[in-house]
Amino acid sequence: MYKYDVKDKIIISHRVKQFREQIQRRLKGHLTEEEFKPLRLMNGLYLQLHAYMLRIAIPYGELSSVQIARLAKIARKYDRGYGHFTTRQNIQLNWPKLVDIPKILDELSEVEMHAIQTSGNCIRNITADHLAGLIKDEIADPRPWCEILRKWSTFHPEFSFLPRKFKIAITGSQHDRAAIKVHDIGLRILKKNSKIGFEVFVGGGQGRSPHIAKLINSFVKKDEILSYLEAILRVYNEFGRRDNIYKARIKILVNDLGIEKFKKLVDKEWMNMEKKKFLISHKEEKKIKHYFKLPEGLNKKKGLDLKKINNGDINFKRWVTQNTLEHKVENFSIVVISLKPVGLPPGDMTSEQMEKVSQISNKYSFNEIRVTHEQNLILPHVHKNDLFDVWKLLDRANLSTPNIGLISDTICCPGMDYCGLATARSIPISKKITEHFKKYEQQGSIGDLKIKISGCINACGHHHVGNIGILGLDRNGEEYYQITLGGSATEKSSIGKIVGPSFSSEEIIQAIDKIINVYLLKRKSKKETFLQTFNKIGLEPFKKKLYDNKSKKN
Amino acid sequence: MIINLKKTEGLEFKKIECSKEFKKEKNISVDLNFWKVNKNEILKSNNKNIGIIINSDQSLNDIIEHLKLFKMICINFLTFKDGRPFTLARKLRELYNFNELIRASGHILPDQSIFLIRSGFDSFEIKDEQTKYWEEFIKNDVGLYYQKVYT
Repeated sequence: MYKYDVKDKIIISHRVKQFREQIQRRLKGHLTEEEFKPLRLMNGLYLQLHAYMLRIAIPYGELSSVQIARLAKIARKYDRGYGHFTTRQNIQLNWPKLVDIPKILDELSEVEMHAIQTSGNCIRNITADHLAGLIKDEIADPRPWCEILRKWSTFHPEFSFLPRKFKIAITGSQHDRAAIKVHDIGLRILKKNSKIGFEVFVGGGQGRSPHIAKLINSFVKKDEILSYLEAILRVYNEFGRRDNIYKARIKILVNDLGIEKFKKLVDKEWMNMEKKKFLISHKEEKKIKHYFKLPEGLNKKKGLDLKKINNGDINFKRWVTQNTLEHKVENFSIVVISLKPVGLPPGDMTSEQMEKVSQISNKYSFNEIRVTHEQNLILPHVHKNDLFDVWKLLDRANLSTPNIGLISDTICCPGMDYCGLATARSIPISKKITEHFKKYEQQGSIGDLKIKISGCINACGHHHVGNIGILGLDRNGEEYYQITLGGSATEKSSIGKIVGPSFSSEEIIQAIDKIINVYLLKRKSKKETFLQTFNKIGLEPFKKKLYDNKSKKN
Repeated sequence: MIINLKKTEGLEFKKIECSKEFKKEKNISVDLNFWKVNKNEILKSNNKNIGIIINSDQSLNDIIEHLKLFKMICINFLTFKDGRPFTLARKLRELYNFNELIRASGHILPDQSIFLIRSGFDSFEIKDEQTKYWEEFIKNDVGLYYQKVYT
C-alpha cells in the first residue's frame, strides 16, 4: 500500500490547519456561505438535508486495517456510529458537526487520510479497478498510476476552479471493472510494442444527460500521460460552459464541439506544452510501484488443507461460490464482503463492523482492504485454508450475505433520506428488493444482474448503467420510479432505455418481478445473463408484460 | 489596495475611460472595449506604460499580437468561481513568455492566493479589510507542491 512521504505529510497537515482557520472565519462571519461553500467542498464537506456530510477520500479504494479502525473510531466519536461507502470508493459520514470537522481531519491525517477534493469543481478522487494487482488478466497495475495522478491533481493551481466536477478512472485490464466510460476521463492501460501507455476516453458521464465516453487517443505513452491530461483539462477549463450548471460537465463540451474538433484543441495545447516538465522519471515510477507490490508473505508456499476447505456447511459453500474470486497467487482467494444485507441500506457499515473487518484483515489479509465502486469491501489476499474462519467471523458480524453480483447486490444513492437534491427516496426501494429476493436459490437462478437506484436525475446511484435502472421522481408530492433496462458499465458500456411510464413505490416490486419473469421465460439457457437476453429481445416484451393490462393514465 | 510581489517602483496605472484622459496620463490602464476602439491611437503612443484589463470571461485573442506593448495585464474575476484566469495566466507566462505584471482583480479570495501565484499572477487588487488574510496566506505557504508549474 502507498505510504506518505514527508512532503505528503506536510501538505496534508498544512491543509488541515488552513481549513481550521477557514472554519473560524466562517463562524466569525468573515466568509459568506457563498464564499465558504467552495472552500468546504474542496475539503469534502457538504451541507445536506439535515446536517453536514463529510466525504472522506479513499484513494483508488485502498484502506489499511489501521485506517478502517480509525474510521470506526471517528464514526463513533463524532457521528452516529456508522459510515456509508460510496460509488466512488469513498466513505461518507452523515451527521458530523461543523466545529468537530478540524478534529476529524486531524485524526484522519494521523493515519494518512484526508477529505481533500472529494467534492467541489475540481479533480476528484481517482478511482480504479478494485481487483487491481490481484488477478491474472491484467496488463499492468493501475494503482501506481492512480497515485501519480493523485499527486498531479491535488491542489492543482490551474484546475481547482473548473466549470464543474471532474472524475477520472483507470483500469489495467481489458475487462473494465472501473466503469471508465462513464467518467469525465477514462484511462485503460495498454501495451504496444512492449511499451506501456494509455488508451484515453473523454466525455463520459451520467447525471441528467448520460454519455458514453469517446475515444480521444488510442495510445498515449506512459511518460506523456500527465501532459496529455493537462492539455485536456486546460481545454475544458477554458471552453467548458459556466453559464449553466447542468451543461458544465466536459461531456457537454465534447458533444457540442464533436470529438474531432475537441481533439484538435487538445492536440494544439499538447503540442505547445513543455512536455519535459511533466515527465515522470524512471526513478519516481519505480519508487511508487514499489508500494504496490504484493505483500511478501504471499509468496511463501503454504499448501492446501483440504479438510478445512471442504467444510460441508452449505452456507459457507454458497458464500465461497458467490463471494470469493481466484487470486493470481496460487492457493489464495479474493474475498468480497457484501455490504448489502437484507433490509439495510447498501454501503452502510457500523463502527463495530469496521473494527471486525480491521481485525480480520489484520489476521488473514495482510492488513489490506479495498472498497469497490459497487459499495462492497474486499479482503484482497486470503489463504484458502483461512476461508472458513474468515467466513465465520464475517457471518457473526452480519457481513456474510452471499449475494455479490446478484439481484440483491444493488447500488443505491442516499436519496431523500439524506440528500438535499433528491426527489425521492432510494434506500427503501433497495430494502424492498433485498427483502423480496432474499431467497438465495431464487437469486442464484436469476444469476448476474445489476440493479442501480438513484433518488434523482443527478444519477449518483448510476441508474443509467444498471441492467435494471431505477430513477426516483417526484410527481405532485408523490414518489414515482422510472425504470430503464439494458444499461451497463463494463467494457461494453451502454445507457439503459426507459421502459415506459413510471411506477409508484407500491408497484415497483411487482414491476421488477414482471421484468424478471420475462427474462426467465425468454432466456435460452441459465448461462444467458439478463443483459444478454435484453440485448437479444429488446424492450418490447418487457413493455408488453408491464403495461398491457394497465390503464394508460400513468 | 494593491499587493505586488515584485518591486514595481511605484508604478501605478490610472484607469482611463476616454481618449482625452489617455493623452494626459503616462501610466494608464484600459479595458478591452477601450482597446478595441482606440487601438490605433494606443499603438502610436510613445513613452507610456500601458496596462490592459480583461474580464475573466474574455479571451486573450484581441491582445495576443501586441503583448509586448503591455506593462500589465489585469484579469478581473467576475466571480471567484470562474477558473479561466488561472489558465490565461499560465499561458501568458509559459506559452507567450509574458514577463510583466499579471494582476488579479475583482471577486478573488485570499484562499486562492497560492493558486493565483503559482499560475503566474504577481499582483493583486484586493479589498482593504482582507489584507491581513492575504498576507497570512502568502506568508504561511509551506512551498511544497505536487506540480511543476509556473513557480
